[in-house]
Amino acid sequence: MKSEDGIKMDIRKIKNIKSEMIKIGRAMLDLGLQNTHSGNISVREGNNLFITKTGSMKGHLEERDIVLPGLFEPEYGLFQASSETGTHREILKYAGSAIHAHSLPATLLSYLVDEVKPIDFLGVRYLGNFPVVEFKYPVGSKEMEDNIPIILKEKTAMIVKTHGPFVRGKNVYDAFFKLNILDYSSEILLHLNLLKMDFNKIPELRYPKIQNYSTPKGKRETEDKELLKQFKRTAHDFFYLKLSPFHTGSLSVEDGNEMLYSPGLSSPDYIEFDIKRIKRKKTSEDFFVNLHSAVYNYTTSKAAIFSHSPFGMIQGIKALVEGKDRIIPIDAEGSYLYPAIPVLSPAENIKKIVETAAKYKIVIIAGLGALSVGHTPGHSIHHNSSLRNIAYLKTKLQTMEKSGNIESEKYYENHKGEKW
Amino acid sequence: MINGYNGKGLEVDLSSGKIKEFTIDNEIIKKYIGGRGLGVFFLTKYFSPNENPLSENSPLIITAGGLTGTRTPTSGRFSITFKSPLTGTITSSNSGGFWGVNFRKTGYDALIIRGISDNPVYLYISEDKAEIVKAADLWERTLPELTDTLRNRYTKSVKVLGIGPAGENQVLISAIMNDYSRAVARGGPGALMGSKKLKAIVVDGRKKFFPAKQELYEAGIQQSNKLLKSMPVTSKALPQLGTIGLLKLINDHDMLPHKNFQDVYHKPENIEKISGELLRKKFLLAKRGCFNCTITCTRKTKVGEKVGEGPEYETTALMGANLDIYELEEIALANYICNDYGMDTISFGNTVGLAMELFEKGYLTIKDTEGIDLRFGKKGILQKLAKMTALNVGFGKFIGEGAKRLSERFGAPELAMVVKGLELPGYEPRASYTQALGYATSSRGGCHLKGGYLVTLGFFGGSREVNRFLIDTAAGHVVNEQDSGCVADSLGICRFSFYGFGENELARIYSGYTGIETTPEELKFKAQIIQNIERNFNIKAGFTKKDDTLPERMFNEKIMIAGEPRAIDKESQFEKMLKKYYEIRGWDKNGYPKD
Repeated sequence: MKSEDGIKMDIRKIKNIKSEMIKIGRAMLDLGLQNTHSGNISVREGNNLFITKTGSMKGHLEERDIVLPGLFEPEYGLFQASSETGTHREILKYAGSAIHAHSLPATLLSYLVDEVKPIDFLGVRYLGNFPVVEFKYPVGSKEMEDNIPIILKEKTAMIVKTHGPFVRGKNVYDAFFKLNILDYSSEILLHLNLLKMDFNKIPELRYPKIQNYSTPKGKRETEDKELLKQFKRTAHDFFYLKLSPFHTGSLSVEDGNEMLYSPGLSSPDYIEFDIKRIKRKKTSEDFFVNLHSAVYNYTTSKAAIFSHSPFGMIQGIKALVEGKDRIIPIDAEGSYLYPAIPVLSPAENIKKIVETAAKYKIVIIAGLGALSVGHTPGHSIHHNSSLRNIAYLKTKLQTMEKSGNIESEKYYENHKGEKW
Repeated sequence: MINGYNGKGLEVDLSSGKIKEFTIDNEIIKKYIGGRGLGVFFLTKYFSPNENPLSENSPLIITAGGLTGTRTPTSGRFSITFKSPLTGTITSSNSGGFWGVNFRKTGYDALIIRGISDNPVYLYISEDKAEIVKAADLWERTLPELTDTLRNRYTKSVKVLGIGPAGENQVLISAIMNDYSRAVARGGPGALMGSKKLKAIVVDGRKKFFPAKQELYEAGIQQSNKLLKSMPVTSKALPQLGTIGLLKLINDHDMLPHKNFQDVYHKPENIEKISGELLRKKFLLAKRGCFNCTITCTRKTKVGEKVGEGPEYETTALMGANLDIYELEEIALANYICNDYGMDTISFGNTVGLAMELFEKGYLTIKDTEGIDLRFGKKGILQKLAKMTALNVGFGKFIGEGAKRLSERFGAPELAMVVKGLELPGYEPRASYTQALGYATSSRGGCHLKGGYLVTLGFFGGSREVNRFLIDTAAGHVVNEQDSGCVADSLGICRFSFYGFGENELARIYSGYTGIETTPEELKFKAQIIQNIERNFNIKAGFTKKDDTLPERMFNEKIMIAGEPRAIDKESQFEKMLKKYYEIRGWDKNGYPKD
């Protein structure tokens, strides 16, 4: 069957690809990963290259804004295609999707380093070290077309210095997942740089055995509408409050001997996530499944949330380097709710992690994320979202201290927190 | 003298055989820039709008653009300004290639040709001399023969502009060609040149020019090149597919005319047969660019043993899709004939489309066509018709008069797809209201370029995209784009450049080149003055508000476009846009410029 684009593909398939690209464009705008018009998204399907139109508003794409410029031979879609089409075309000869965005933390980081060496779990697992490359002409140039695809054949991501990152993925969701992780990892490294952290002093963070996040398929193993609403709200808040990168983080609620578990929960309203039913007594290969099970096996909590909160991780790593076992809030609401938030090593055993979480409502696992527990999903995410604010304010105040704007960040800490 | 200009022109009187130099005042150059602007100034100075365009007094005015031949990207263009023998409007047509650059280097900014020679002649112009030379031996030659002969006679470095048999026969849709197959096509300039018995103009210029403010000039050029490289249209699409690559895109937007603009439906498999992708795979020999151009949209092609240029988008749209003919070989071969004999492929294709509709509707009979079956989709007749038209024989005589005269001759003026007598190009007005207004208000009639070329801003304007179905704000966009086009025409810059850069960069380059501080707004203001002069010329030539319109079909016949049946409602849509257009131009309600 031929489409209105004149290409030999099933129309439903074309519509589906375009629909997914439209959603990712909107998600990119929702997270501020580019301005209203910049960035570009491409997908390969067979021998067809789908790419966003030059100058199109990525947050408001319509089907006509996605064009087909030809993967191997130039096609008429080239008249409208992105200025980075040449680079995308070469990348898609071996990948399913590629995204170029203008992530601000990543772009800022590109002024500081020649190679990005993530230290957070997600960055280490999904990106590894990747280069920052300076081009004489860093927009749509032949030099970029010649070099970026070679780099991405080996690496998952790279940053064009002063411009922004390129990532590749198996499909458009996977590419956006990687881009979002890159954005978070860059945020962490950028702020540790601004805090003048001595990276040599960061101990090796030994992460537990964790299965890869996989793209959710919209699986729903509950018909409880009220519960579904709570999961949806949590997924929404994860995503929009930037508590965890797209399709990461997890939520569970206890259900007798089982738990309803949603891995890779962070997603906007218009993209699906899974809710699985899991036997909580059974040991899993996956650390996160075991962690959530342990919450119910060892504590009386009824819901648990795990996020990869970037500012929580900045403060967790900083505490570890400074030999501290906690962070102490410096803002009024944070101090009132949490005199101290404990920090544990990722090598800590699961029982201790969940018991600490139950005792303090939330615990930071340095480099990995934060576990919060409560009676309901809403109760649990309250702690994780509070951590975001607490850690953000602490990080910014510490940066102000480094630049001499304030005398001491510590001055604002609740002294009760030292012994809490 | 203003830096970068020659400050003088050459006036040739073919009746008396006299040639004289004249000075061009600095103030004139400052006001009219060059190219179209300077051409319009000289035409209105030397010629009364109500005179016969083929009279002895009717001048052919050739002008270099203000930046022609500089390092500005795509600055190879020159203009020819005249009263159109096809339409009676003031017409300024321009062309790329290399001729205009070489002309400027002979030391002249303008060439004014008047009078009628008793016998065929050509002009030779260099820095040292300008002479009228007998050309009896060159008469009846095709453009490639003419060009080869003259280059062999002088040196390979001379550039040749001339007419083919179509111009000699004063066919009203004939073109002037330069550099073998670049065309100054619209409005029938070939007929005017032919009426003067002027076969060719050979230029052999070597003069060098230097910018007044190097740093400013370089900054503008660098930025322009950067912007051209960053736009996919100019950096990738046109270089890789040429203008014919637009065909499928235009079809996707329901803009590709079919059967003399009766509808816009083409079977997908037919579109594949005339696509830019197919041309690239099957017929492309090489791509070429005009002077200092990285866009390289020209296609050198080969069909069988024949080698030529094209077909480009307009040719394929009008001589192919519009005629229900979907054979690229046939279109290309007919295109080669138009190039070799010197004919406007838009007007030719459009007029043949009209003839086919007249034939199918019974206005024309097989007797009228002298045995040619003129049904839409009829294969194997295009080449024959092109040659008959150029040679002004048989039914070709009627095609050569253009669509307006043909429709009137056979009693169906409403079927002519023309505006002010000029045949519409390959963009359906009902599929772009902004372009429709552009057609209606363009000073030379149904032209996409002089009409502002809004059509493409409807789908690859990037963040400058202008929705094609706008009504309330359409006029502002049309005025803006027409002004930009006039700036480009006056500076000698290709319209395609405006996908990358525009007045901002050009003002900087022009300031650096001339040493006269010029702002983008000043350039646009000058463009408005130039267009007001064109408007006044047309009014004096007898055109009125009633000519600022579209073929009735566009108002009366709904066709499926973008998923719904569309026509342009005359009162609530077209008149509303036109009224606003007059207001923005500062014209009164009848379309007369107030000053």
